[in-house]
Amino acid sequence: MTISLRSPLGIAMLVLTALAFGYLLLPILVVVAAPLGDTGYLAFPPQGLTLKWYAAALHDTRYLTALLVSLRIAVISAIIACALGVSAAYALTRFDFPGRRLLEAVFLSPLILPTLVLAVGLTLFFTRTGLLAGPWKLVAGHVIVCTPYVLRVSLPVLRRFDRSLEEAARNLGASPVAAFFLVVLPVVRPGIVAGTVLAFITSFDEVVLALFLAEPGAPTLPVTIYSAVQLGFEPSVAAVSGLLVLATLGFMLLYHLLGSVGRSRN
Amino acid sequence: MDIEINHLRKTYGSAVAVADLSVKVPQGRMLALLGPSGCGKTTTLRMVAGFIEPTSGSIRAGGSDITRIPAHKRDTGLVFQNYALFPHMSAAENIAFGLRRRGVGRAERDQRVGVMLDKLKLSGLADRLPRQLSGGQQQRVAVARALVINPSILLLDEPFSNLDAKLRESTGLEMSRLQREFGLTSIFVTHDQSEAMSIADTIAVMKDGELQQLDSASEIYEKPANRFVADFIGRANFLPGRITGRNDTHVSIALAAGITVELQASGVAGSPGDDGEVLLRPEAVSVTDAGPANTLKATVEQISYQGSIANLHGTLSDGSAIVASVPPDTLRGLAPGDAMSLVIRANALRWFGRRQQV
Repeated sequence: MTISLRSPLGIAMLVLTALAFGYLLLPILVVVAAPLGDTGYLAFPPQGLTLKWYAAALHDTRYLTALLVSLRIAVISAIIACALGVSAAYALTRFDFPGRRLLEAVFLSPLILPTLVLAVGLTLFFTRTGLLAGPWKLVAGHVIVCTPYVLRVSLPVLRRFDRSLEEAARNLGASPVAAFFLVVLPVVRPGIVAGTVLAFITSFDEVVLALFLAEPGAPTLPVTIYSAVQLGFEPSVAAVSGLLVLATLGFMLLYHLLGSVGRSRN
Repeated sequence: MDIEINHLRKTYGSAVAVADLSVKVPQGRMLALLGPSGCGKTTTLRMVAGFIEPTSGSIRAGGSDITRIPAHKRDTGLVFQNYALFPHMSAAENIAFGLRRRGVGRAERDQRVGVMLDKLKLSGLADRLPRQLSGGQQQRVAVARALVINPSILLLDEPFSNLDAKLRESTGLEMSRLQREFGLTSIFVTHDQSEAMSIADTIAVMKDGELQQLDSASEIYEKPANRFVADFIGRANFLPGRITGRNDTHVSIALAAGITVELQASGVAGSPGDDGEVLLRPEAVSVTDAGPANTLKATVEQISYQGSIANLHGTLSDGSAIVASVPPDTLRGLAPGDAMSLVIRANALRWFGRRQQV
């Protein structure tokens, strides 16, 4: 059914859509614009116009250090989650073994388990056993919450994968391992990349586990922002958030640009 | 390299996919596994390719047992029903895949891929991705990919089922030409009897995991081993009847349609009093003015023209239906409702006793 945008119904839908987008996007605009104000506190609309809070955020080494910690932990967690999630998804789709459904449910359960419960449990576990040190405690925690995202995205992709492609590779002389890396992986790569990006974002954004498990001297960016907000709301904190929004926007533009280049080449 | 399948069996729990199959394919010959879906033909092919492990029995190629050898170490080229081209590789990369796996160097690889592209009329399409190729072109890439590795055994899984009718015939003939040219021993799975008959040297008709008949196309068509084979291969009329007499040379069978026919005694198992059916191929019937013997009275129900022949559907005096394939010029203005006389060729009849029916 097509509805003319000039009809009353069409205009109503247009207004509703605009309101929905406004509701979703305006807060982000506030985050980016508020630190431009020249006041010592956050105000919107900003009064006066200055870049000093942005400059302060960029010069504050606490944020930069925390950003590097976050990036490092998110990258490592995402890579491990990717390897675990894809392997698990492959096994769950390829082999029929007793308890397969139960295992799938267990793999996906961290998605519904409150992170706080997990954080407390892991803290107790690491304290008691003395296992893992430094950033690896947090990486372990993040891998637990990130793997289900990779699994969730790769499962349907691998399930839809045409198994005759794998058999064709075997028939042409590829060992099972070679067939996986030369044929299965390249074909399902978009799904796996999407899952891994999701895992990266989840780890990068995560606060609760990071509060409990991060190294005392090396908090992640979300933890640093969280503490700064608790101590006193300086506009420079908002500027950090604004920078993150701008960086995300930049990445998305770059991704679309590269994506369209890739498409036109084919 | 010849293939020898011995007492091959595959079961899934209590379900029997292949019951007890023994077939030999001599070097350079093509065997068609023919049957309706679920008859075990594809399972058999996949066991030869190494994708399914047999429950029992053995598969030998060139004298050596390959039953437990993993798929990637078998010397077989397989053309899949859906072609299974790698979507992320160009036509040339698809064809080169098997050569890379075998460690063939770049120069030789390029040369051999080029030869295959030429042979299958794919030159100029080397850099296309599979989705940029038509169905027929994809099929040829799949064939080239299977042939370029010089396999000693070529396996074809319904390779023409996704092509339209015209392309199917020309591709089939091309396929059997290539198979002869490369001297390949070949197993070909199909549910289409005309495909099997046109290109295979030997046909194995299967049903419910059991081999029904293993013979040349003409033997299977003219001397079907049982009613299932007769019905599955070509079109068939089955006329009910009873054996009324038997001597050293001939057997007399009284048809329910009112006449008695004489069959060679050697082709009939059964004794007087046995009930059964007589197989009558539609093309063994002709329209005529009432002849002396072997003439059935029938009423015309419908006539469908097929161009070179016409299929004449009629009803016999006992109410059973009959189909005759006759040259259109012999119809002489017959129309539905008319009475007609049909002469049947007695030497083309086959008897299937009731007990023999499967």
